[in-house]
Amino acid sequence: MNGKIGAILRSYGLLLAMAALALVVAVIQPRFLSGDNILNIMRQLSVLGIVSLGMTIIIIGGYMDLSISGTISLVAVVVISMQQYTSAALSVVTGLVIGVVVGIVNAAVVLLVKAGNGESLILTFGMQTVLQATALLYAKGYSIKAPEGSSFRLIGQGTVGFLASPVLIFLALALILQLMMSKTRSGRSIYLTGGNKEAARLCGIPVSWYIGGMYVITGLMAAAGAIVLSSRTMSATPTMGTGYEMDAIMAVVIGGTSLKGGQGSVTKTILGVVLVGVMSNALNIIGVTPYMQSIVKGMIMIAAVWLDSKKTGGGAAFAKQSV
Amino acid sequence: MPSKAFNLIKSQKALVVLALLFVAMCFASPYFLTASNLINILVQCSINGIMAFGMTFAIIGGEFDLSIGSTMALCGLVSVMLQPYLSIPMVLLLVVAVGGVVGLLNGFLIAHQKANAFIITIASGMLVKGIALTISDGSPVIGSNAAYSTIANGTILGIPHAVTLFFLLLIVAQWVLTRTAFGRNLYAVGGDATVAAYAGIKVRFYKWSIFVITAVTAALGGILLSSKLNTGSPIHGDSVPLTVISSVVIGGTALSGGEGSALRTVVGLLIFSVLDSALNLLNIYPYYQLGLKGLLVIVIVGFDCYARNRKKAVA
Repeated sequence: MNGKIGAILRSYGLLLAMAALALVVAVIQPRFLSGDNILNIMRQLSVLGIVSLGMTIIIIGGYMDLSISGTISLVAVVVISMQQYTSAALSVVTGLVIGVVVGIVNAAVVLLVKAGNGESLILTFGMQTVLQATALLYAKGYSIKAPEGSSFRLIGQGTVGFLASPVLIFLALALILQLMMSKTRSGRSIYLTGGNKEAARLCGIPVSWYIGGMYVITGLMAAAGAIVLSSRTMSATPTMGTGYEMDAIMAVVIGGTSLKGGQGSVTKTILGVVLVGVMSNALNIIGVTPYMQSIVKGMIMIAAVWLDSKKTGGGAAFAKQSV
Repeated sequence: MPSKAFNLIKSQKALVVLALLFVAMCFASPYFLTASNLINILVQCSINGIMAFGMTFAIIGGEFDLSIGSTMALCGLVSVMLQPYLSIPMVLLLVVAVGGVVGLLNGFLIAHQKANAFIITIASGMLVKGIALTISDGSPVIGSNAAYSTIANGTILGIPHAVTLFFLLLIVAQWVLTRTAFGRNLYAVGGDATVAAYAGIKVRFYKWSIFVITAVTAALGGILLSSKLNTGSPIHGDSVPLTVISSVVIGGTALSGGEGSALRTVVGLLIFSVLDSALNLLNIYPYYQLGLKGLLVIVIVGFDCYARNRKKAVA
């Protein structure tokens, strides 16, 4: 009996923890469970959600991408500055193209030097710094505001029915990527590449192409996140993306996707993102100061990873393999 | 003979880059090769450098620690805030103990509970930073004891104590890594933990000590920085972990564990500091400096990774 309860706790521990947290907060502050607040939580978490989707794919594939915070900053300043003299659609396309180009460059570097998981971390950190510098140079270090009338604002501030458009964008992208990962050959190949690259190659999977594809998806998701984020405020600062890379990795891992690669899922990440979003909102709504929030979040993260390591047996920080 | 020279260049890429950078700067700026500029370069790399020695141990042992920035901030803050109440030696002792506690927490979760080091150290960094923000209410605190600032700024024969301490710790780190059983076992643990365990090495103890070492060096870094500025601040150190890891890796210590040395780390640190000084002397716009540093990380780590994999493929 005891073992059974333990097993349930281990597989659904995160959901139960979330439910318990929501219950406690709802008792303290009934406003927490109001429709308004729930929609508010969803709007707040959609940008992190979009960015985390890309991070999920690359982590499942056994690599790492820290460059996304630089991509977010760069895309945000470029897209906002373009509102002055061009259409919203063209600016969105430009933003997405930047994301794709960053992904291709990342993949080219990683493949060229045959980097493993750990090295991809440092290489994409270098890329993050370069992109951050480019964003600062482009904006000359200043924040940029878009003109009020632009239709660009609909992306981040519009609504369809009762749902805010950022939430819809997040859910649509999540659905597409979840289907890709679970129903297509590409998805299965990415799982296999992350689980054991050598075996994947021997099975005839074009591993290099998939690694390239994963980096492009991550860059594309970072660009999409940047477009939604900058459209919400109709302004951009050249350091807007700072911290998103770590938050995204955190959301992915809290959802239950292992950093070792080859396992996890998009739906797990949605759960992780929701947990992070609910937690932030709950702490805000019961009036915990931002400084204390950092302490509480740190403790919850540690607890979540600790529980996860009990489940999977842990292991080295990175699997040792190269292309 | 020329092939020997060529081999040296191939095995010491970071050193060659450093030498080229150094020589080029001697010609490019008359101010570069002055005693004050050279000492300035050493001062700049000493604080990050001490933490980089800790990180070298961690990376050789196959782990790394992203919480050191927060630990550094908290320790610097605590040492400034305790000054009105305690004597300086007591303050220093307590602050190193604070670092030790953070290290023990990380060690417990990673070595004992086998949780993932990457996420655990981000999370514990968040926790520690939250503590630093809470006790200082988010604002910097200025030191009240004039003697405290001599810890980093005082000089012997014109050399600041921070630099002296940096070189002392370099000698200790290199000695421990190359001349003691602890060092040899650490390489074995980083190379292959399973094999090390079969050989009778207490892997858990080594993993645990890695995180205590990185946290204590972060405490020392915090003491030196707060002493140098006579200020403790909760927002010091945000970019420290990745910068420190980059200098260790640029020096030539492999992220996959089991190889590397403290001397190589010094080369990596000096490349960053000399480049900083060079770009400032040449009046390069700060944002270009940032971009150049990012490119440098990509190029050096990329080359190193490429060469390592080719060697593996040949063997």
